[in-house]
This record gives sequence, C-alpha cells and structure tokens, in this order.
Amino acid sequence: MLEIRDLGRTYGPVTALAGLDLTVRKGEFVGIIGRSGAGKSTLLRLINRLVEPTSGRIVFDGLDVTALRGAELRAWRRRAAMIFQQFHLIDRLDVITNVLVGRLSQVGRLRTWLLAFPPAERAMAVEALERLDMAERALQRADRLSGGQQQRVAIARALVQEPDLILADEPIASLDPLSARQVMEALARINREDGLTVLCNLHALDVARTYCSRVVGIAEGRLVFDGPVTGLDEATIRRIYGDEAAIPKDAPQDAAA
Amino acid sequence: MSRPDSTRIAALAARYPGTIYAPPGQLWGRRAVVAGFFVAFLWASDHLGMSFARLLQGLQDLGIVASMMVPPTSAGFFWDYVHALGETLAMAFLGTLLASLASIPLGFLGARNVVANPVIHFGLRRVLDVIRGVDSLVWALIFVSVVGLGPFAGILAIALNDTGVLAKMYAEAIEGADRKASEGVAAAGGSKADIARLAIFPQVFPVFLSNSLYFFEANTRSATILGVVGAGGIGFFLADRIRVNAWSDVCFIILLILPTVALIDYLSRFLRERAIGVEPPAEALSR
Repeated sequence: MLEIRDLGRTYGPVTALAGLDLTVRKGEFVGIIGRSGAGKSTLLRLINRLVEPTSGRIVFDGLDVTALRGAELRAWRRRAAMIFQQFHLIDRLDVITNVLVGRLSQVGRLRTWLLAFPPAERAMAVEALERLDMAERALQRADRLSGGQQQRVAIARALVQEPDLILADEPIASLDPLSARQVMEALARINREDGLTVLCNLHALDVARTYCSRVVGIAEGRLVFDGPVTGLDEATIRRIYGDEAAIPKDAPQDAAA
Repeated sequence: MSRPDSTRIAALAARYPGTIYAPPGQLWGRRAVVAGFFVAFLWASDHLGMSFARLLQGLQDLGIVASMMVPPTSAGFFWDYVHALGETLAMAFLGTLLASLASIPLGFLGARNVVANPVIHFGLRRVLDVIRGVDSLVWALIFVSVVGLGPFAGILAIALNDTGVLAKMYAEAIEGADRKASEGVAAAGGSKADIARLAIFPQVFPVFLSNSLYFFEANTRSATILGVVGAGGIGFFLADRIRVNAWSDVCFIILLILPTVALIDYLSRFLRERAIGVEPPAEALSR
C-alpha cells in the first residue's frame, strides 16, 4: 500500500504540489488527470524520488520512502519503475541491452559495466520483450524503432526491474492513436496479470475512462477529485481542467486537455 | 516476472537466435580485437625501447634539473618577459581570430547540405587535409624563413593550421544541423543564402564559438612553443635560457606562463558557458 501524506514541492516561489494526500492499494490502476503543469509529473517523480519533496511523507508498506538515502534509495527506485513520455531509452544501445538496464540492481557491477549479462538475465529480458511483442527487435538499436515500439521497450525495462509499482508519466502523449492503445493495453495487462500497481498520468479523459478503475484529478498542485471513473461529471471536469473545459461532453478530448 | 529456468532459456535462445548467446563468430571477433591491441602494445613498447629502468634513471636526472631551478630568478629581465608573454597572447588571439573568420565561409562551402557540388566539396576538403596534415610548428618554421623572425610568422602559422582544423569542424557542425529549420525558411521563399544565414547559422554559432575558444586556449599554450623556433613571444626566451642551462631563469618563465594559461582557460570557459548556456543536471543526478 502506498500512502502519501501532505506531500508538497515548491520551486522557489512556484508551488508544484501543495499538501497532497493519497492512498493507493496494491493492484489498483490509478489514472492521474489534470492540465499540463498541474503537478502530475512532479507527483510521480516525487514517488520515485527523482525529485525531492519540500514537505510531507511517502510510505510504502511501512517503508518511509522519503527518508531513504544512497543504496537504499536506489533499491527503492528499482521497486518503483518509471515510464517516461519521451521513453528515456539509450538510443545507441540495442533493445535488449536497454531492457537489461532494468536488471542492473540484480547483476554485479562488473558484468553490468562490461555489458556481459548472464544468459538467465538475457533470457528474462527476451521474455519481457516477448510479452510486449517486441522480442523480434531485440538486437536492433533503440533509435531505429518507432515511438510506440520504444515505449514498449521502456515498459519491458520496467517489468524486469520486478517492481512493486509502475509510475507512467504521460506514457502515450507522444504517440499516435494506435500505438497509444497498444501501450495502454500493455499497461492494463501487466496490471491484471502481475497484480502490479499502476499510477498513470494522462492528459486525455477518455483514456482514463477506458483503463482506470480510479481517477485522481489534480489542479494547481492540489487534489480536486478522487474516485471511480463514474464519478466524473461535468462540474468535476471543469474543476480539474478549468473553465475553458466548458465544452460539449462528446467533443474530442484533445481539446479538453 | 521472474528469472526463467534453463529449459525456458534454451527455448528462448532457439526462438530468437543471437539474443541470449552471441554467435561464435562475433565472440571470437571481439576476442581477436582485444588480443590484437595487446600484442600491438607489447610490440610497440619493446620496439620503441619503453623501459622502466630508463624511466627511473631519467627521474633522477629530472631531480637534478629541478634542484637547479631553485630559486627562480628573473635576472633583471622581468619586464622583457612580461612583454614577450603579452606578445605570445596576442599571437594566439590574432591567429585564432583569423582562423575562425576564415573558417566560417570555408565551413559553409565545405558542408554538403549547403554546397551540393561534389567537386567543390571534394577539392576544398582535400586542401584542408593538406593544411591540417602539416603541424603548426612546421608552418612556423616555413613562415619564419618567408617573413622573417618574429610574431608575424607565429600568427600566420596558427591561423593557417587552425583554419584547416576549424573549417572542417565547422563544416561538420553545419552538416549536423537540423533540417527542419532550413525547410521552414525555404518554404517562406528564402534563397540558399537566406537559409544559411537564418536557419543554419543560429544553430551552429554556439558550436563555432565554443570550438574557437577551445582553440584560443590551446594556442596560448602552443604559441609558447612557436617562439622556440623564432616565431616571437615568450618561447624565444624560454628556448634561449634552456640552451645555456640557466634553469632558475627557465623556472621563473614557467612560473609566469602557468597562471597566464590558467587565467585564459578560466576566461574561455566562462565565455563558453555564457554563450551556449549550460543546462543544470536533473535534480536526481545532482545528488
């Protein structure tokens, strides 16, 4: 269980996140929605500790994540796998080596540095790629792939971390509709089959409606909605996206985001 | 996910060949490269007489020279040294500036995405290769016999040699420029020259500037050497004092050069960072 209490982060005079409380149970698929700059990315980065909080605490199954340092912090990051909007793969390395980056905490440092991963680790990476329908591309360079394919490689990298959480920061914002659907289906399948908790930042409301059992709305660094998808009515949407979102319900969601 | 067992590994290796075990040819190829380097190293060090004993012996002699350097003295030449050092700096500055200015048009001419004519491109690149193939020290010797002793020969040597290198680097920076901006200017009705000025130049200017500043730094150091062959500056005094074994004078000159070079390095770094803007590391990477 992930418990976030009074979590805040300021950048000089700018408040990115202000005293947020949130509890996520194991196995949930939570969609975090809000406008650009609302604080969604900051929230996920705070959980992985890529960004330091200025107030509050994050506790995972009794472990105080905000207090971790050094090796313990790196061990936590292994458990809280990140997926980024821009994939954050290493372009010049092949696909399988990119996935094996997710194994670095389990493989000795010398083997990692020599890129000499044992067969069992390589097989695990291939298996993860196979689950994402990317095993055929294992030996290609990462920058030879399309955006959707790169994101699936990034998900495979997250999978072999054997994480407890998947933190996906706008995973489909740079993808075409078909690739976006493949990526969201993959996240949903992992959530279902492996029982992994997924926190997924999304611009688009209809995607959240389709995939997320629970939706969290953030506006100007504050939590303004937390509940099932069915609880999202017109007034709530306006609270999350601001008054410009006063548009017909069936309008394209890009406009709302 | 969990680590697969051995039957599963074998099945995956069979289905996706090359992913789990590298093909034997590739494996032996890599080993051959490593072994080749090792053999070349051993052969070369044996052939060129690299020996630990000689190094130790040399260190002793170095100790003797070092002891003769104390105390450093200017022997009444202080202001002559300062003047010569200023001359060295001026040589480095003028030489780099001339090379940088010449390299801008040459860089554009030598870039395939600007001048599509393969004859111009090939010809220019070969000329630059020749200029670069001769070290600036050799150019200095040539220019000393052409224009006589003094800093002018040094400036010409630096300018020529660096034009050979900088024009090539500039051309490569231009070839690496993003095409999108060029297409934008072309679509607005821009000529080739407009594209070079408006789309390409702003992209490559920071690269130009940063390379030129690096060269200024390096030239401050190498201008010292040019003086040794008679091309003006502090190197002239340095070579003269070494020749007559006046080691405490040599030490004084070196102590004068060191802070000057350090200052130039610092200034150049400051200017470079101001010009290109250094992005701070991500928060998680700075800890």
